[in-house]
Amino acid sequence: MAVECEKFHSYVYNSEGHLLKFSATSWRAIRKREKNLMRIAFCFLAIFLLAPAGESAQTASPAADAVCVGGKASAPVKIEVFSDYQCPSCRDFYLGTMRSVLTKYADAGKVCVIYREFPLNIHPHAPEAARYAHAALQLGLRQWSQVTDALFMAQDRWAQDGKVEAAVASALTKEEMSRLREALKDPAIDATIARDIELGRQKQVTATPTFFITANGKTEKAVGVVQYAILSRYLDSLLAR
Amino acid sequence: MALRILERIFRLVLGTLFIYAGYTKLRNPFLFEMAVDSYRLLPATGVILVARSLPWLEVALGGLLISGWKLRYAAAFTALLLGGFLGAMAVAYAGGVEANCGCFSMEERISPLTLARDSLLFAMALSLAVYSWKKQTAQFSSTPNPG
Repeated sequence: MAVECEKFHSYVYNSEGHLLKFSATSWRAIRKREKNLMRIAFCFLAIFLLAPAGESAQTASPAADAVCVGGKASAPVKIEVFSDYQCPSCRDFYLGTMRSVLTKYADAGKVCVIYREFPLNIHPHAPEAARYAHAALQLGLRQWSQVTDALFMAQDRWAQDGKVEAAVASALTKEEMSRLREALKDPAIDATIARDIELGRQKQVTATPTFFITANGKTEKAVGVVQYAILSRYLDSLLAR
Repeated sequence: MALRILERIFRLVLGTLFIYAGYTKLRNPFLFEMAVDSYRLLPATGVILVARSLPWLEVALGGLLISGWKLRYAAAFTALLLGGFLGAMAVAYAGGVEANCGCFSMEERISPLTLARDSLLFAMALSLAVYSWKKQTAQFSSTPNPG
């Protein structure tokens, strides 16, 4: 390709041998376009240089007194969920996602799951359900799991009629239920729930479910229902590091 | 003159915000996947597809807006994208879905504030798109026909 420059115009032979005429304005437009492309390339370069391999994170980690309802405290990843038993999203999150996390990650020792009570003011029966769940946790992890399953699965019913105890009783034996009633008298239950709520406020929890994932000394906050398929991708990426 | 200054301001603001938004998402793609998923609008494969492509699209659009190259297309696409974000946020908020906005940080919940902010950005992008298309049309009509 040959280029001959005159005072105001340039002539370029294209691959087919045709002579193309370019005015000075055309050259300016081409140069401007090249400059713009350079700017875009610079933006991309800046992004790559500035983006570190790590991730932005808070440094807070779950409180030391936290009880893992699944997995061990020494697990490399901790999931701390602030949940409300009367909240439909919390039900979906627990039944659709967290139950699978408990069986596939917590039981394998990869993740410690902590459930915190965060009953919202708009749910009148949530505090009572939280008390039953905490009392069940005093009986054991199996009982907590059974009561939590029952409370979430029958949520529509007891949220309407307020018969929380009936839903809890359906999940436990008579002997366990009588022990649970005894455990409910313990004032420590209310204190623990109050502490969970206060902790949630400190962590700026304003909605449920809100969960914090801690791994490698970093904590990330997430709000809302997340599918198991999506959460497991994140957990796998954390465990692979 | 005032319109040209306003155009530059809008380009710079939207471009910078888009590059920053894309950057925060690229830094932690898994968290952004969870934010997209929290809208409860897409199946898992759709969530992954959107979460993995959107940040790059935002960075590219931001670059185009700042450089001014293909401005009318970039501005129109930005307006379309922001309109889509606004629609998704409004649907989630109206439906009572507790979702993470996923806009600039991964911890921001959808609220009237995020809706207002997105509406403002949408209005900016829309006015930029209209202005750049009008300007282009005016340039074409003022150029003498070579024939």
